[in-house]
Amino acid sequence: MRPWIRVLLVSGLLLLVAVAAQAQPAQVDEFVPLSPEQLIAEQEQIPAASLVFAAYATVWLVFAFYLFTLWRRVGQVESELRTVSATLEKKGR
Amino acid sequence: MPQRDRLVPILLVVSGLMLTASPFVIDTAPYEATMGLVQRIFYYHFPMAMNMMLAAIVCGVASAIFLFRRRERADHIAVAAAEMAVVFGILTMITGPLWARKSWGVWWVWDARITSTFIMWLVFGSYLLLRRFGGAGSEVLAAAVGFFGMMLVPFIYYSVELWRTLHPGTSVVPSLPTSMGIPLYFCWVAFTLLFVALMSTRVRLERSRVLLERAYRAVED
Repeated sequence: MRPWIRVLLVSGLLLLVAVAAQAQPAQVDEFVPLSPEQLIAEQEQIPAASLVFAAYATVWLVFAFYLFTLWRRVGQVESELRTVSATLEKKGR
Repeated sequence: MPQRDRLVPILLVVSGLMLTASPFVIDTAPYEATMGLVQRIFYYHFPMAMNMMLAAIVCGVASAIFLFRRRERADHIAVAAAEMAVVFGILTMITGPLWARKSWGVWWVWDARITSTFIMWLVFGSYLLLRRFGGAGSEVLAAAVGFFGMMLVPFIYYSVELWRTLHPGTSVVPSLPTSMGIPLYFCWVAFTLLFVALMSTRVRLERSRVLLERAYRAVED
């Protein structure tokens, strides 16, 4: 991956965190009573199952991606090392 | 191939099998009384956070050894551990907000633990950027950054006791009932084995990369 793409990705990630931080609830000016029906509806607005699924899936995907890139980097560097070592041996060093 | 490199596939298979079984093991745990289903994110979130701190400690110790004794292997370990801290840190900061959204009603709050974790992630991110773009001699400066990054670990761990925060206290994990403790320790072992496997592979990459640089220099000479 090119260096400027990496810098862009890191900057994007930082921006995302900053945006998420801005998404905090606004300051409360008044108290509004909530009926039991509204309370149930409010709780159901955030489905726990999809959040749990998202958390597990993200962990799996990130590790799969990282392992893949790590393995590929090792493969590339080691194959390059073998080529350069062969060149050195030919030169008799 | 060194023996430790031959151990990596075994560690990957064992951790892969354990992680495949983990949702079924977690399913045996009872629902937490106030948070319900969403608390199950904890079984992945906590091992991520602990391994991030473990990576920070490994990086800090290896950086100190490199700073004072100039051991090349310590530098390889420090680079690998810094990358682990960033990877496990990202996952801590993704799984945390997903849990917080349901139990606190917000994705993110700037409380002591979350903020200090984010700062530590930035420190190790800076370490990697410094190594990538810092040029010659950056490894010494990066080692100092890694060492100070490690200093944040006790600060993060005890932040929940020192300041008022939404995070649960440090007494939660030791006091877990067995039915919740078994899934947690199962996942923790699985992610720690994965951590060791990834870390060993990353050290191997760093070692090969240094050898390649030397080989190129020898060809040029």
